[in-house]
Amino acid sequence: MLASCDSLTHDADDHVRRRKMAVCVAVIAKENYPLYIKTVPTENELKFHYTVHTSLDVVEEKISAVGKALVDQRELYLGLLYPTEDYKVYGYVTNTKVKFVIVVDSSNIALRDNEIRSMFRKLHNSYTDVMCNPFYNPGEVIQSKVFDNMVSGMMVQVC
Amino acid sequence: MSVPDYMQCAEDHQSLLVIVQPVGIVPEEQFFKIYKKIAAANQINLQDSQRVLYIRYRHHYPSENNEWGDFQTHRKVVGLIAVTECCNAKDWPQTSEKFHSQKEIYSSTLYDSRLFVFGLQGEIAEQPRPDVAFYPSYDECETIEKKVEDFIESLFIVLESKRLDRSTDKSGDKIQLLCVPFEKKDFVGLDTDSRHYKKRCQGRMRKHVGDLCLQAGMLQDALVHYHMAVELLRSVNDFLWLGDPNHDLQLNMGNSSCMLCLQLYSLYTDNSALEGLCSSSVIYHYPSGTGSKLVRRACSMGLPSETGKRHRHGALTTNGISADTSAEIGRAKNCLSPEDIIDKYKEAISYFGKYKNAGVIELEACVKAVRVLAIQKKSMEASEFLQNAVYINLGQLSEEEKIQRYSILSELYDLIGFHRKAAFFKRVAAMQCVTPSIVDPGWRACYKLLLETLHGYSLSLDPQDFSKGTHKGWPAVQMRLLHELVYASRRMGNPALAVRHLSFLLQTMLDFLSDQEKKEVSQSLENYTAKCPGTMEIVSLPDVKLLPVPLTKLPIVRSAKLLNLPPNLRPLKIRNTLGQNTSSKSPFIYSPIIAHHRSEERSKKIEFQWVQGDVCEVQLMVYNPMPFELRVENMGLLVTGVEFESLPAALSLPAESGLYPVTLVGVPCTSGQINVNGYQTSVFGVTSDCLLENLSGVKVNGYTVEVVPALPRLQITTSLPRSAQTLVPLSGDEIFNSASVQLFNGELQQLTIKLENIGTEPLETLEISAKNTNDKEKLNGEFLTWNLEELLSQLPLEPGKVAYFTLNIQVKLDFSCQESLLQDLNDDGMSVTGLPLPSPFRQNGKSSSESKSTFLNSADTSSRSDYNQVKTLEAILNFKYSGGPGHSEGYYRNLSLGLHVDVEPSVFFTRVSTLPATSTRKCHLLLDVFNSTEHELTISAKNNEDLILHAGECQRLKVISTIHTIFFNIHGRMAIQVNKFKFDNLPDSNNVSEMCSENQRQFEEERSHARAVEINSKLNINWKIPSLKREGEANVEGVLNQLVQEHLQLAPLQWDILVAGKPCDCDIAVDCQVGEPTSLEVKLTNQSKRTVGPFALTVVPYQDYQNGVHNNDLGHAVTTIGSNTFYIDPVKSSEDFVCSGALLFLYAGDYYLNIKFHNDNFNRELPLSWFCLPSVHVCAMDPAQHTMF
Repeated sequence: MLASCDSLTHDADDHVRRRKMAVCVAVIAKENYPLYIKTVPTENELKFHYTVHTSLDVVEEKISAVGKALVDQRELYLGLLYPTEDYKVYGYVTNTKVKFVIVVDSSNIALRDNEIRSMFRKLHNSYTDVMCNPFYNPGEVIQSKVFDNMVSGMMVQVC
Repeated sequence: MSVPDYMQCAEDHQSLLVIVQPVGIVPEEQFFKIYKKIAAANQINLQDSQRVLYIRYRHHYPSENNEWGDFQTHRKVVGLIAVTECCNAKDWPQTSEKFHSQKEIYSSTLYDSRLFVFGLQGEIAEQPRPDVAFYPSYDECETIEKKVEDFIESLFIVLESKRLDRSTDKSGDKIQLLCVPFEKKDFVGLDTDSRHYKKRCQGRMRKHVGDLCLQAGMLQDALVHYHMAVELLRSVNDFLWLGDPNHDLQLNMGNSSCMLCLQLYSLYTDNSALEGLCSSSVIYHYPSGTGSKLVRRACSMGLPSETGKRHRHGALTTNGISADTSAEIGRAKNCLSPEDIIDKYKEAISYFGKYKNAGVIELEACVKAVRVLAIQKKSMEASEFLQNAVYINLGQLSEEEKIQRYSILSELYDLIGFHRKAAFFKRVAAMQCVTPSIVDPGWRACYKLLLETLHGYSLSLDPQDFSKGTHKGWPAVQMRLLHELVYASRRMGNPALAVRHLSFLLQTMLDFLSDQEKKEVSQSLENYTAKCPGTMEIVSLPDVKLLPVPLTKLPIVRSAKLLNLPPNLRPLKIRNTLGQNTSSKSPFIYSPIIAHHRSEERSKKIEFQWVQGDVCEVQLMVYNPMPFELRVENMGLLVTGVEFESLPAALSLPAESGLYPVTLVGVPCTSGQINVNGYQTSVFGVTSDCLLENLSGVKVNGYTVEVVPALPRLQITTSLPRSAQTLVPLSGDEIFNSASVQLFNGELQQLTIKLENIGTEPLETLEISAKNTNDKEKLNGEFLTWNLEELLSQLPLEPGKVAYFTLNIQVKLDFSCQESLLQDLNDDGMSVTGLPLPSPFRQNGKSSSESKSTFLNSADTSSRSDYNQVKTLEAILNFKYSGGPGHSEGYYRNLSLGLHVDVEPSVFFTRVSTLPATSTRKCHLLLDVFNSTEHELTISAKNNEDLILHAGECQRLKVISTIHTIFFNIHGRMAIQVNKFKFDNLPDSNNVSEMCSENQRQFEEERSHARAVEINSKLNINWKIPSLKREGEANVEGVLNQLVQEHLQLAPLQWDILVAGKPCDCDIAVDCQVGEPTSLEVKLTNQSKRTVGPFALTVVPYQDYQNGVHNNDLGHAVTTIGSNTFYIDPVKSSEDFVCSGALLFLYAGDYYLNIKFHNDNFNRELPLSWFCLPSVHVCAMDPAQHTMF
């Protein structure tokens, strides 16, 4: 009952989503504002905004917990941030504290941890490319088409 | 049991539950006052032991929860305190009845009860009753604490007896099975004699005793009992009850280990403090409390939102620390480690989860676990518990319960530092307040809850936080929240609030709004402001103050610049005190420190000044970020320092306009320092005061300008049309008004200037000066002249009054100097010799050598335009004026009138030459006159007869005139016979002989010019165009070259010859009688500065046959009486010498006398022209002939 609040409106079309890898990909700046967010059922974007936004609590908690111990060999991948009724939220933090958040459908059991990791790695590489663009000002919203295409690629069906 | 107590925490297990309730009608305010007093006694130290009793007070408790009292004794209502008001003894029985019925509700669990009666006095109150206390009023209840303490002690006695009873009871055969409400029907028909059943009973009882021990403050015993219970219940798979003691155990342990942890922490910190002390070789020993204090603080910091509500928690921990160590050591054996607590909690919760009906217990356990974890700072684990709690289904909840649940979740998330999650749940709770299913939506509550979420979304309602720097937080969710705030405040019926939130949304989220959203938001803002205009006042709510939101981005201001007054209105300081500006603090002209200082200064001081009473302007560069036309109304300046009347402007900016200049104006009403701090706008009905310091695009905080006391204002109008051409002003000069006039060269025109004082102060002083702006044209004489006396007599000029002033314009330009013209005239090739003049002799001979003066063929129009060139003169007339208070402060104003004069050439002289006249004292001036106008004009010298020149003609006229006569010639040559000039009054070059050559040349030029001026004034040549009725002077100054001037100069040696007593200087022949001696006298007057002579002169008579033959051999006809040679002694300066002789003409005839100097080589150093002797013409006649004539 409460979980339905977490996902304020339930997207009914489970069938379509099941085959997708990620339903939402977000890049969040060091100062915790979104640099990029893309969701697959675009009509319900705000829901994902809330999901990703609240996941930042966990990200911060994890960073602060790990950060003290080993700054150098810190694992960038944060793992599952929290599961909701419908989705699983995974996090990843670069060394510059830029956060990547991927939301996948809970029903997508086929998705392994390794695959999530590789998705993040891909995302990180692509983000690095964006940052290498001399015409991109760090802190601006990412509008790169290449990046967008890459993210779209993550969201298409697996098989 | 369906109502969870979200406020529960682990320590509640050791407390006794007491209900405090009003009976009958008690004013809410008074009740809570009393409740507070009662609730203060939440911790009682029992007198006879070290045990501490904790009391939990509730004013509301659902009775179904009470039914779970056997399960966990702290859920049991053991005490009832009723508060009632009874003013009348009559009502007493009724009140008493009510109290008893109230008691009935909890009768099954109640240990004791009390009734506090307020307002009743008299005999009833006198009767001592153990369970009733009477107080005359709500304010007079000092003994209430004592009563409560007594009450609690009585509760303790019951509790203690029960504990003892139960703990010793175990040996009895029959142990009652304690069960929770939903179990009751399950146990019907169960074999009560089975071993299994007995064990269960035992286990449950053990747990119950543990509970009682705990409540009675016997932690150690409780632990033992719980451990036993766990053993017993585990063996019979009684999970619910197993879970509970476990749970309780942990809770207990939670508490105790909390205390323990704290103890350990304190020791640890103390040690570290000691270590620190050692290393720094400090001998002090820190009081052991320091460390613990630190921990306590950390503890309270861990639960900031809770500290207020839960005094007990803090008290507990403090207590824990101060507890004696012997107890701690004993406890440690049975105690669980912090990690174990969580494990046990997990276990317990998983057991509870197995029972559908134990949802509330599970939920509460989760809540308690989270609270413990929050203290342990294990946020991740806590979040897992909370996540679990989210999924616990409690069946159908009422809306109110849902709200409560979400709020508490939010609070717990806050507790573990998950502010975003907390904000999310708070928002859900807020939304729950107004779900459509609720009949009476609680918008106010919704709004309040929404406000509480602001922190979680890192949103503050102070626009200052957004004015500078980058945006913080997550725009999409922030925007959503703001929209919800707007909606909620509107539904609350507070449009001012809605306007405030909406303007805040527009101001801070502008960058993130799409075009469509911008339209919608501004549209709805307009709709709201139609009902309630937005102001700059603080909107106050009971718990928050909403700061005003200036819409600084509508429009966005990129720069602000103060404009100086127009040049004609600028106040200027009379510079009587030297170095007013240099009197700064530093003696150095330049110092890097000062320069640095200036650049740092954010509030810029402006160099120029404004004047009181005069409109001053500030220019803003603005642009409209909106995708539609933006209407800004009432845009005005915000200033401090002086009284200021702002004149607001309204503007309409096109959609997404580029930078757009806007000028804001106002009038300072007093003088002094004015600070321009910002501007005011009214957009979409929202009035905003935008301060410059809050603008991100503007670097300065404000500007400071000095406002000078009022000055008069002068307006100038002229009788001439305004100049079409704008004068190119010299640097520093700006033209207020300009007039243009067209003149022929030499023409005089009068210009009337109207001076009007349009200010409010009288005009007291006025100075006028003129300045030529282009000095490449050589001007002859001043071309602007005026008489100021008349004007000054009209001062002071009162406001609104008018004065007139006349300006004479006369241009004397030299057009003949035009090289091209002369070139043209010379290259024309059409050399025209002057016609023989009906006048003096020797003209012919001269005319050939006199050059090819030419006249322009009138058909040659192409070149003609060149001569018709219009020359332009520009001048600036400065009016310096002052008056009023500004005058006394030493300020004045400068008004400039630009004068544009187009000068058309009238007549000019292309060439000038001289011819000697018959007299040595006179000469002929030949002028070639050119009429370059398109009109016929006449020209006259010395008011004599006119010479008519046709348009565009170059006529060479030779008018040979005596001083009174003008001859004229159709060819346009004009000759004027003039007396030679003496130029006595001119400075002599001798005086300056010691000057260097450069100066000498300059001096020569000046002298030459002065001579030309004198000649010109003597000649006084005028022209007139009859058709236009215009006239003027013609100027010859320019053409009078050195040679001509020399010719015109009277030689310093004057030779006068008198024949027969008559001077013969002219062409007049002197008559004399044949045969009679004719006297001849030669007089030399030396007007030079030196002595001249001696000279020797020989008189040679001759006859001219008029055919070029001179007969000098006249020895037979003329006899000299005496010597024919005159000797002249040296003549000193300004002296004269006369020598005389006589001639005798023997025959009648025309004779000429050639007086020659004897020897040429003696006077080489003197110019030849000095020895120009007049020729003498003598007509000798027979006496008879003479008579015939």
